Amino acid sequence: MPVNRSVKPSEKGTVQFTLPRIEHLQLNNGLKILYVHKDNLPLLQMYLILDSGSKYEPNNYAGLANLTAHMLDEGAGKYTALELDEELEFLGTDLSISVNHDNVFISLLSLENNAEKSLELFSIVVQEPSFSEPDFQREKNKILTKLVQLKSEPSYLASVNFDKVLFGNSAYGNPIYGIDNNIKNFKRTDLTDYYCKYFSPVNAAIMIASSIPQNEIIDMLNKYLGNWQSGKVSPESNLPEMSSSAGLYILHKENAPQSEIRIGHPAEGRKTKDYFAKTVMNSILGGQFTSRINLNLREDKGFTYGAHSAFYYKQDVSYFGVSTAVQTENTAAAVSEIFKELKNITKEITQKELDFAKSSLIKTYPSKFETYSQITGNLAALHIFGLEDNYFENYISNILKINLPEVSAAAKKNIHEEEAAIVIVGDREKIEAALENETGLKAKLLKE
Amino acid sequence: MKQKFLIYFVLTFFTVLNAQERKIEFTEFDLSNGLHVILHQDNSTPIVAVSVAYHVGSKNEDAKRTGFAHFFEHLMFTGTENIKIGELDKLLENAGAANNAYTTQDVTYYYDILPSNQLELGLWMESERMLHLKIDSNSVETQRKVVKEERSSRYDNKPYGSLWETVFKNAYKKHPYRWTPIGSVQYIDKATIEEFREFYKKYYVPENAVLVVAGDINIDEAKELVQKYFSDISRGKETIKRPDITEPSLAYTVRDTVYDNIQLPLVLYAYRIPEQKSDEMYKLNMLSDLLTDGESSRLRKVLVDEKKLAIEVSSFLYSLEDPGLFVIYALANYGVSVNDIKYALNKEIEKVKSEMIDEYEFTKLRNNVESQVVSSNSTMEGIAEELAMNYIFHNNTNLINKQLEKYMKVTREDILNCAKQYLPENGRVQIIYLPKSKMNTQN
Repeated sequence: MPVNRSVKPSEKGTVQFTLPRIEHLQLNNGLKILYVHKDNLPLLQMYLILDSGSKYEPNNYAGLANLTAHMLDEGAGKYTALELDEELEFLGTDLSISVNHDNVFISLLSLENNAEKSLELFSIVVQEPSFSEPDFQREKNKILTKLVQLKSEPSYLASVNFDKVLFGNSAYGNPIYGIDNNIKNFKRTDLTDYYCKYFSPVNAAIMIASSIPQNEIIDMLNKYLGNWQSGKVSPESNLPEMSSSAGLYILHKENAPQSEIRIGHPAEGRKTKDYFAKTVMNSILGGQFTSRINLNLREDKGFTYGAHSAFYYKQDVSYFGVSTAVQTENTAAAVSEIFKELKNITKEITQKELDFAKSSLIKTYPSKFETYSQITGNLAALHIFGLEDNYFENYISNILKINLPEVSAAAKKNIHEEEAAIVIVGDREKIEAALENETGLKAKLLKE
Repeated sequence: MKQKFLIYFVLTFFTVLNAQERKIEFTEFDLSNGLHVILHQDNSTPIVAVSVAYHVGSKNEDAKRTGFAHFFEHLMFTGTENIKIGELDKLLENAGAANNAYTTQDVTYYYDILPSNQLELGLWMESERMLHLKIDSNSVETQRKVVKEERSSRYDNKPYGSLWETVFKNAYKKHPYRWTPIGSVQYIDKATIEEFREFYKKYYVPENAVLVVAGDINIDEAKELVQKYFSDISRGKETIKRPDITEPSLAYTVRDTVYDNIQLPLVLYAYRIPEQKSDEMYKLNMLSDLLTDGESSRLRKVLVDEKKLAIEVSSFLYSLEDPGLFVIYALANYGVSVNDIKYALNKEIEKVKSEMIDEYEFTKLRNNVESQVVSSNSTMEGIAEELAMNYIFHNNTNLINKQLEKYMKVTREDILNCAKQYLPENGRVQIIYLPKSKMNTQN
């Protein structure tokens, strides 16, 4: 008998999903540990998170946090940079360092069997970096070259200029990689000073997902990081003074086939009461694939390969932003459509849209806990924003609770098209007049 | 130092013997219409990956319709007899599913990651678009634009974005690998709706596809559902001819220079290698790791760390169903000349061809491979993809469980011989990227 295909199959029962149990532990020196046991693969995945991101940089030192962090594994203890790489690679262990405005992340991925030796090397990198002059010069030149290279990367230019327009001359407005004229003046001692001040167990926490049992991993960590001494200074960041950033900004790229577009404005932080309502509202507006913005710009107009929006949360500042890249000739039309969507979301959201977005967010939730790195990433969010432990447990019920008045209120409260800054990287000669005409704004030119 | 290395060697050698390469259990069978089905059960997270790989890619295209297979991939997201145009992504997103697809030279791969209680929805949707896709002119026209913007975002408006097109154009003269899956804009405009319908009838048939279901399932239930939705799909009426073109080996060095919107020059060498099902791939992968995997690898140590000629050096196997490429490239440091980069690269390449690597470096390579193999297969979608590709390209689904064994068979002599055989000095492609500003000062 042929199957009836005309009816969409319905879901079968409910999904049984147990969230991983989060253990809060501490090393002998007080260093905080968040641990999740996971054993489908014999691995140790670990992040050391330090409150030493680029927002703590003094004025005219843009790029100091990034360079300091990247010097950690360029020679430490008795090992030169290459010896250290040799040792880690011999174990098949991956140690990598990344930096954002708030934090430095030192991550370690090791096979369970090699965890002890990997942790020993990790602890040397964290506690005894050499900061030798030749290594410093080499890494400094590398980052300067990287900045030269990034000048031809339109999406990078759009993003860093958007930060600059929104957060002015505060450290949040500076690129993480830094500014070439600042970096050129760095001395080796600038890095060692920054390291001594901000790289300390008082400012740090460790996130772990591993097949290694809790007591064994704690013993190892105590052995290698338990005597790490505290620095004395607690971090103080250089907070931005907020002023309106609304306006039209263009960075000229001759003959660019596309325009990179960023539109948005500063927003309230991560821990507001309407966080879940905002999340659902943004899904409808530009978060999900079938959001208003993507369906309009991609599936209806064919202007772009993709367009989306998000609330970007940092510890001290946050913003709402729409980003896309469109064919040069459609730049003004795309901007106009985005503004229409920003305006419309504050006017009406339907029950159907609300149900759809909630369903999607709730049902995708278990897939956010599949891998070791997803779990350590989730733990990191908990730590960085100081969320309650039951945050993950309550997530689904918190989304489920959101009703139409709440999601509509979240749109009105958090989306302000009249305050939005428009940053475009593209061919000025081909887009400026149409953009000015469309927005009624006089374009300000950005420099690389 | 020496003694310490020796101790590590003994210890890690022991580790390798004990390596816990997790066995991936699976069941596989053919439906009577020729659809190959692979099922893998893992109940650790309540999600399931449903994927369909169609054995068609850009190498099946007409040279006057490059980009066609990839364009068609976009049309697979429009609608079917029972799914209204524009509803497919919505119904999946509403069900909490993530879905996407990609097209290579050899295969077009679709996947859906669903909550496990939505397995039936995933199977229904994939069977719908295998059985009776609807291709309407509105969707074709919109996707024409979207595909062009995809091309712009990924290739035209990106520094070095034309690199792969340039490499393949120079490395192949006869084989359809001479163009890449994104294809050319002029042909994107020419493809007609009739051509799309013919392409669908010819290639999107059960005997040309592999269906994988991996994740939180019960094997018997999954089998039943697969039967329910896929068994009434008919076989295709046309025989599928695969390109049978042998590209002659390169008898000399093919050179090309591109002036791009970039700041730093790039030097790339591409060498021909065997088809991906050859066991030579394991040796070549280890050779590539030896050259550029990790800061202490040969080329990175010399070019980036010691001589500071480059800011980035990389190599990898572009392995394909028909013979593919081994690629090595370096991005120059500021102010460094292309000749200095070429000289340093060639010196190291000659070295790996003339001297056998020592035991220490070889053990390092093996440990690295072990680590990569053990930590791979960490997602259901990744496992589904690996199973599908092993079946299609190797006709051996169980290869997923043989990776470590295959790598551990490679010897130091194999690596030396591979370097000698596959990295000839005269018989490769050399691509140089220079900033546009240099255009008038050169030559």
